[in-house]
Amino acid sequence: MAFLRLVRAPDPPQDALQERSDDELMGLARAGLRSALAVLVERYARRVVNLCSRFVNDAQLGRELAQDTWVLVWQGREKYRGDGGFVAWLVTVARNHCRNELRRRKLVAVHERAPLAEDSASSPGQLDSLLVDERRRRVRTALAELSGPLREALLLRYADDLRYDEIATVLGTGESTLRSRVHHGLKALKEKLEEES
Amino acid sequence: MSDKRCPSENELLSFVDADLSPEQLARVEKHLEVCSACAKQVMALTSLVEDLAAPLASEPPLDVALHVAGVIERLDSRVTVPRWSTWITWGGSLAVAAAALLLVMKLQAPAAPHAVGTGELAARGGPAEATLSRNIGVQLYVSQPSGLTALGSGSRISQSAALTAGLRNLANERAYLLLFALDSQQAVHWIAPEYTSPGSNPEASPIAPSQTEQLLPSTAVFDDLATGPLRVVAVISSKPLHVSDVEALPPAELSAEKLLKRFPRTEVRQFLLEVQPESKP
Repeated sequence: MAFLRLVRAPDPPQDALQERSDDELMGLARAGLRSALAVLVERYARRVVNLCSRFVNDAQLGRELAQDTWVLVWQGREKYRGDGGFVAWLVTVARNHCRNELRRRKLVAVHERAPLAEDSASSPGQLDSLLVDERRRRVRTALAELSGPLREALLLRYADDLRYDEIATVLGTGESTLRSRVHHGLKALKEKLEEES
Repeated sequence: MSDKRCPSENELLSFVDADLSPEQLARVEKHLEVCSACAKQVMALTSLVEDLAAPLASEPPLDVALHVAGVIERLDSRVTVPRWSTWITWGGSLAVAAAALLLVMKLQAPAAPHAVGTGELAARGGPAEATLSRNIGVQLYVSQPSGLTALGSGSRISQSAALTAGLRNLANERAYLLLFALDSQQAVHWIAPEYTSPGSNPEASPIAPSQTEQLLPSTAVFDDLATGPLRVVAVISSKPLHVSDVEALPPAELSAEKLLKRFPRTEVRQFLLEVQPESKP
């Protein structure tokens, strides 16, 4: 009598995985294939780091939270529905984790030290760069002072470059409300910066 | 709209936001060619949007390969996921049911203070904490339409269960309670005190001296409670601790033993429950 012998198929080569869609990779990750998750991490690493860093206004903490986000994606991979909305789901996981971490650390905003205090710049190029850094620091400080919903809408729209329908999925809020939040947020930021100067 | 009439502020914002229809876009673009005031506004808003999208100044370039390796290495570790709870204050029939239950319990309660029951684990510090152990009783309940049901270790609850606790303090001094649950996903859910906003750091709930059991003022319904084992932890102290004392700790530090090591002048009790999936209607 012949018995059917089940043999686990070897992992597909990494190159082949690179060609797979997000949903296919999540399907493989659900089956336990870590290399499939690795491809997703590689694909979206910068995006998640970027988003987390801005949410907590801290580059180093942002990277740690981005790594946590992927661990949470792995742990929650069974919950992903595989309906083509991986990015929105990923951003939701990252955003929730950042919010929780902010709450845990009681960290509302980490105001970076102005780089102008560090070196004496000599060339015009260096000066321009320092001025841009200083302006961006002021923008981030003003952003941290906005209400949570306005700040989140601006970050998801511009720091993470999401479309309104994607943000609506992440936040569970209607697109027209989100457009209004983005507009209000931009106006409020502009006014804050104008008041300062 | 004529080219000479300035677009509204919202239209300019939508222009910067790349959120205009092709017709609107063409009109605004044509207007910007001739109106320096609007062009200036658009430039300011565009610069603002670019600043929002720009990387943080202190951010060194990301080594993606190293980042990926770091993630894969950590896949089996646990990440603490604190969650919000919803608190429901006693009222109406729920209050009547709770009061009736407490009356029955008062009639039936033995004179001895709360004893550590089967499956309920307790750890305590020195002699002063032994007094806490003798004098303070904590009983978990699930609140249902029919009334309160006492929970013990091994009890099963649903994901939407409303939990509360009955407290008794036979001492003359006030004691304090931090009561939280840690689910199978390592998410921390608070029962007491009520922890409702991220910026707050509430003090442990007071347990006033009382010969009879007093219910917490509210029940907690957990947000996104994971199925599987649920460890409910009670940290009882004579001086108030705060929510942040627990929230700042990773899950590995939330075992009864480690909590006691960290807060030696406390009594730590835990109840091991099982969360079952919500049954479909």
